[in-house]
Amino acid sequence: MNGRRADGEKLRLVSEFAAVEVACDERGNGPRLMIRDLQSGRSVLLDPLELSALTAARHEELQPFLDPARLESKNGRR
Amino acid sequence: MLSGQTDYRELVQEDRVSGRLYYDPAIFEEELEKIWYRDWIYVAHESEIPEPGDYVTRLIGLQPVIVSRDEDRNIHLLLNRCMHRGNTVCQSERGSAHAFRCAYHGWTYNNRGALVGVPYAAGYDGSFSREEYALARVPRMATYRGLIFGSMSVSGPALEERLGNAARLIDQFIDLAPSGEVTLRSGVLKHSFRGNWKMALENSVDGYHPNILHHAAMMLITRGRKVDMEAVFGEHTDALARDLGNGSAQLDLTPINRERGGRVVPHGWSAAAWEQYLGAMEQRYGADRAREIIQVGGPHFCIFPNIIFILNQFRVIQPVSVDETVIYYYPTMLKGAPAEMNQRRLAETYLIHGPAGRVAPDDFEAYERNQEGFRARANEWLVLRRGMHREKSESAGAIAGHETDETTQRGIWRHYREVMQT
Repeated sequence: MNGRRADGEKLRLVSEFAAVEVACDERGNGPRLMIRDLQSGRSVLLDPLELSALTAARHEELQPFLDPARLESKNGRR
Repeated sequence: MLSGQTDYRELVQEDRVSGRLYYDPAIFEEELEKIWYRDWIYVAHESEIPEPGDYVTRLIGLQPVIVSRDEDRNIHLLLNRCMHRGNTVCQSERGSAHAFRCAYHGWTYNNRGALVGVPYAAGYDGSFSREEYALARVPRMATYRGLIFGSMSVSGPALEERLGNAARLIDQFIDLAPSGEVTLRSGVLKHSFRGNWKMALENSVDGYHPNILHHAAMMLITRGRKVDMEAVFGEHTDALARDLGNGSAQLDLTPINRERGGRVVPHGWSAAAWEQYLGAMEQRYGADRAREIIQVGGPHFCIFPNIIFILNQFRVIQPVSVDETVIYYYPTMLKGAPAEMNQRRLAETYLIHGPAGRVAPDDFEAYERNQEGFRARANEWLVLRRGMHREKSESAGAIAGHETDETTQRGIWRHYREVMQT
């Protein structure tokens, strides 16, 4: 999904650990949240049902996504 | 001189202390071990990490720590040192993150300290266990009225026992808030000076200097309000200098406050704000108790070794080396008080006590002149005999002297000698 343009206004969220941009993407048949990692350029589009499911998640359930090993296998690099 | 060879009974006498205590690097190293890595040290206030995921980074002595709040709102006090190669994992003084990633090799920890993962994990054999490499914890953590303390020692007195007489003064400070809570969410002023940390602690409860060192500032501040500074900090004051025990000490202005009213915020706030505040206080405490709290006002005291409560501030002493120290000034806001009051509390911090304020720069100049003067070695002693003949024992181990007497410093040094001699 790298390089695709999101239509909505972008918000930039930066911490000492990561920098991302989020925006509402309306190129599909319905709106999705676009999250782009500014360091790697990776991005993901999340639909409302996925986002709704996230609201029920605990932060510790997201931990597997934070394992750096996971990022290697997905992209072949960190 | 090697650590362990110093005779603190010789250096700290009842009526005088040696200048060496302020400039000898070996003594500073020994203080780290015997005070900063053994005692309860104030690290942060709960209101500085209000939301799950919030964290602040601090030092205990010279050791970097992370104060984090997990998603269940529990507070963790973690050593800021990657278990891999020892790098600090957090750099920011404050932030929001449920996980911390070391910038060097990417080892990633959650905000409870657990190791979540490492890059290129195949490089570690089957005996590698994440559990073994969780961030280390500060051995003990305890809170009192929202103040978070940590101790690098696994054993020792409980926090409340250690606070002793100072606990009721923390209550007095915080009870000024109609909700019974203060918040530290208005930033912090930092001021470093080329001097020893103990000078700042002693000076915080030195009632002898205000009318002299701060004379110009006092004239400026009190002009037009006909406040007699002699009656507050002078020879004829009814105020007291009190050794609270355990190295904590107080300038007790209660007798003066009872006459003219304590100080909740600087003068000149509106009648409407006053009415609103009084109403909120009466609702919480009842009319009599509310008026008593307001009449007596905030306390002026320090808790050994690193936190000072003056006017509306928490001041935190951070040693850097034997002759370098940083003071952090945190203005505290009274939760439930009118915004106008809290605005005035904030303004007071930067107008009077910040690095560019009317009072604090005098103190910092004095600390640096102290350190400079210690280079002259003809006479090693600092004299602390003022008022020894007129101080009196009180209940609960406290000793009270005239407000301008050195009862407070003697109390600090007695405690210091006890912990350093062990």
